[in-house]
Amino acid sequence: MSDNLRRDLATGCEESRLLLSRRSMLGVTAGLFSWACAPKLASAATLDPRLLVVVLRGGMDGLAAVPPYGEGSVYVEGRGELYIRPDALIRLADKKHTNFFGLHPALRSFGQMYAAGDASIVHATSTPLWTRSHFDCQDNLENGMPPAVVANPTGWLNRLLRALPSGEPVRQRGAIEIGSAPLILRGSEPVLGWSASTLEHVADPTLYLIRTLYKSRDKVFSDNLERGLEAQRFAEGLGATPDDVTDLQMGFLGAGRLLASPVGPRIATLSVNGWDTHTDQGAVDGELADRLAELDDGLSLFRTSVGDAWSQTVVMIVTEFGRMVANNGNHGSDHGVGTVALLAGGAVKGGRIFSKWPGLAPTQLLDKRDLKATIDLRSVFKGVLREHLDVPDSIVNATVFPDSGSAKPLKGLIKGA
Amino acid sequence: MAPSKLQAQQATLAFQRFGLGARRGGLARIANDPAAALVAELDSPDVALIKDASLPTYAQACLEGASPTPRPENVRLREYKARIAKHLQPEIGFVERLTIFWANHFAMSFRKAPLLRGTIGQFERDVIRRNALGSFPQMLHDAMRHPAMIRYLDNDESIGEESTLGLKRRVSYTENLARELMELHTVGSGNFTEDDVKALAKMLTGWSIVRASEATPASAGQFMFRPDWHQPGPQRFFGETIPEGGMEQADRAFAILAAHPATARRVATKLARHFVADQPTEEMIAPIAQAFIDSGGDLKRTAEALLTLDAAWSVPMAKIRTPYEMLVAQFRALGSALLDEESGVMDRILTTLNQPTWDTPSPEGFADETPNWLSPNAMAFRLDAVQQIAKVIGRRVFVNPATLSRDLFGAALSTQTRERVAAGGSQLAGLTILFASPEFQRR
Repeated sequence: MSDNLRRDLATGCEESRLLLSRRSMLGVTAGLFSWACAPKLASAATLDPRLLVVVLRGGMDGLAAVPPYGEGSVYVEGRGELYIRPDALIRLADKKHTNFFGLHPALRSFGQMYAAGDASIVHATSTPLWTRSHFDCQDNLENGMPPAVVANPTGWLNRLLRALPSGEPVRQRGAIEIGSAPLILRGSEPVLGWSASTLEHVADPTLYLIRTLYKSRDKVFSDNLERGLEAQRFAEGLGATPDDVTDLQMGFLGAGRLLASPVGPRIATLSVNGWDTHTDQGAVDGELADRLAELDDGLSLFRTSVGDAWSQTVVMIVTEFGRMVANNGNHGSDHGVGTVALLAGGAVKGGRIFSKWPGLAPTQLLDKRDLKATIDLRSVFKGVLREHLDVPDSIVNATVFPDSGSAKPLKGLIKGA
Repeated sequence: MAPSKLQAQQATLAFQRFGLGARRGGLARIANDPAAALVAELDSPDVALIKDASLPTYAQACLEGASPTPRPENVRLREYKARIAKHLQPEIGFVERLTIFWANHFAMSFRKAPLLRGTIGQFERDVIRRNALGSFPQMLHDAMRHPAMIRYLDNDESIGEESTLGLKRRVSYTENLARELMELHTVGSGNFTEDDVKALAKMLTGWSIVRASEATPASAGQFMFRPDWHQPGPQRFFGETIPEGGMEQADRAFAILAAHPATARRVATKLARHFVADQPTEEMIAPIAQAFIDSGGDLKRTAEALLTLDAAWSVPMAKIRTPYEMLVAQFRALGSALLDEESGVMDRILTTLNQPTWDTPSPEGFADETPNWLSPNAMAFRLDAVQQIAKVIGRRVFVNPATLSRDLFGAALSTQTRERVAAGGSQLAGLTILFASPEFQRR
C-alpha cells in the first residue's frame, strides 16, 4: 500500500477510499473521485484547478515580448537595433495603461487570449537573484529560495505538494514533468513524468521480469519505473502521438491532454530552450520572433487539447531573467534582469497588466544597463498559489517560499478570487 | 582462475564509474588490479588522440564549416562516427570518459551555426583530446582561439567602443564569452564581479572569425584577431591592472583565471560530481584541487588524484550511467556500434533522454547530478531504448545473453539478474533484461 493511500484511508472519509493512490490513479477510469470529502483550505477559488508552469530557459527578452513603446525616445534610443515599431505591435490596453505596452506580433494567440480576458502580463519582474547568471537564476526560480541561499536541491512545486494535506485534490492528483526532469519538481514527493516516445515499448513477459528485478534489487529504479510506466499508459490512453509534430508541440499537446483528464495530474511543467539571444535577435523578425512564434503555437495547441478544463487552468510562462536594454555587438542582447511573466488560462482574470513600471531612462536602469525588477517573481507565484490553488499563506511562507515576506502575493490574478 | 566476487565488483566499478563499460573478456583482463589498469590507460602513449588522416585539419574543418549545406553536416557526421569508433577501442575507456567530461566542460551546440557543425568534431580532437591529459591552461587558451567557441559564445562581432573602428561609428561589445568563461569554464559564479565581466569582454573585443566576404580557401571560417576592433588601454581585472597588449591582454586574463584557486576547486568539484557522487564532500574535492594546483593544471595528475580517493572505489554504485554512456556501453558489450543506416535510432534516443551529442541546451553542458537522468519518464524510456539497440544490432550480431552476462560481470552479476536473463527466452529478451539491469545501468 502506498503512503498516500494509507494516509487517505486513515482520514476515515468514505469517499477517500476512492481517492486513488498515485500508483493506481492513472489506470482507473474517470468519475470515481468525489469532491464531498476534499478538504477545502480557504475560500473557494478555482474549482479543481490546473496549473502548467512553462520555464523559458536562456533569459527571455521581456522588452521585446512586451515592448513599452509608450516610453518614446528612451525606448527607441535605448533598444537600438532591437527596437520594434509601435505600428507592428499588437495593442494592449487595460484600465491603467493605454498606449504604453504592446505585444510582439509573433504572440498572436496570446494576444487573442488577452483580448478575450483570458491572459495577463506582469511587467518588470524577475527572480530575487540578480546575478545575470543563467544557471544560478534558473536554480533560484525553481528552488524558490531567498537570494542569499545559493543552492537547494528541492523545487518549490515539490515542496508545495509535500506540504498540502494528503486528501487535498492537487496533492492527490499530483504533478507531472513533461520532457525533462526540472529542479522545480525535485524533492521527496513522488511526481510523474512523461515524454512522447516513438520507440516500441518493452512488453510482458520481458517487462514483468525487469519490473520484478528492480523491485528486488533497486528500489529507486523501481519507484521511478513504475511511475513512468503508469504515466505512459495513461498519456497514451488519452490519444495517439501525431507523427507530424515537433517535440515542443507534442509537449504542449500532451500537457493539455494530461491536465484535462478528470483523473490526471493537476500540475505540469514544461521547459522551452533557446531564449539566450546574444546573436541576431532581430525585432519583428529574427531569432527571438521565431522562438516567440513557437511558444505561441504551443500555447494554442495546449488551449485546444486542454478543452473544457481551460476554464480551470492557469499557464504561467516564466524565465530566469531579462536582457540588457541596449543591443550588443552581435545584433543581439546580453543578460539583464527585469523581464515579463505571462499568464494565460480561463481561470486568469485577463486583459490586465500588472506593473510598477520602473522606467527606461538611463537613470532609471539597474547598473545603468538593465530594466529593474519591481515585482518579485515569487509574488506572482504566491498570488497564483493563493487565489488559484487555494493554498494557505502559512504553507506558502513556511515551506514553499521561505523568507519571502518581502514578496507579497499579487492580488487579482484569478477570476472570482 | 575466475575473478572472485570482490574482484569482479571492483572491475565492474572501474568499467562503469570510470570507463565506458566492459567488452567481452575485459573483466578477466583487468580483474587482478582494476586501479592499475586505469592508471595504465592514462599512461598509454597518445591514448586520447584519434589518428585518422581522413578527418579534416583545422583549416579544412573551418573551410567546410564556412561552405554551403550539406558540407558542414557531412563533416559532423564523419566526426561523430570517428568519435564512437574511438570509444570502442580502449579496454576501459577512462580517457574517453575524460574527453567527454572536458568536451562537456567547454560544451557547445552545433545547431548554433553551420560553422559549429563543421568544426565541433575537430575542436574536440584538437583542443579537448590533445589536452585532456595535458595542461588546463593550454586547453583554455586553445578553446578560446577556436572559431567554434568564438561563434558559440557570440564574440565574433564584439567591437570596442574606443577601438579604431569604434571611434568612427557607433559600435558595441558583447559580454557573453567573457561571462561564461569565468562562470562556467574557470572560477565559477560568486568568484567574479560585474566589473570583471566588462573588463574581460573589453579585452576580448576583436577576437573574431574570418567573414565570408574576406575569406580565401586558406582562411575561411578561421579565428582571427582584429586589432582595429580591440578596445585599447589597460583593464583592471581581479585586482590587477593588465596593460594594453592586443591579444596578449586576454591571454594574461586567462592565465589569472586558470591559476585561480577557485578554478581548481571548481574543476575538482565537477570531476568528483561527474565520476563519484552528486554531492562531493571536502574529502573528495580537496585532494583533486590540490593536485590541480600543485601541477599547474596538469590534467593527468588531476585525473590520477581522482582515482586515489577512497570514495572513488565505494560501493554500491549510486549514480546512473548517462544516456550516452549507456548506449556506448551496449555497443562495447555487443562488440559493434550502429551502422550508418541504423544510426538514426541513437539520435532519437539521445534527444528523448535530453542528451543529444554536441548539442547541449546551454553552455553549462549536460548536468552531472543523478536526478537529471533518473526520473520516471527517463526510466520508462530507458527500457525501450535498450531494447531497440539490442534489436537493431541483434539482427546481425548473435550472442547468448546468459554467456554475455557472465563474460561482462562474472561473479558481480546478481542471482536475480542471472535468472531473469536466462528466463527471457530469446536473444532480444535476454539482452534487454541484461542492459536494463541495475548492474548495467548503475555506476
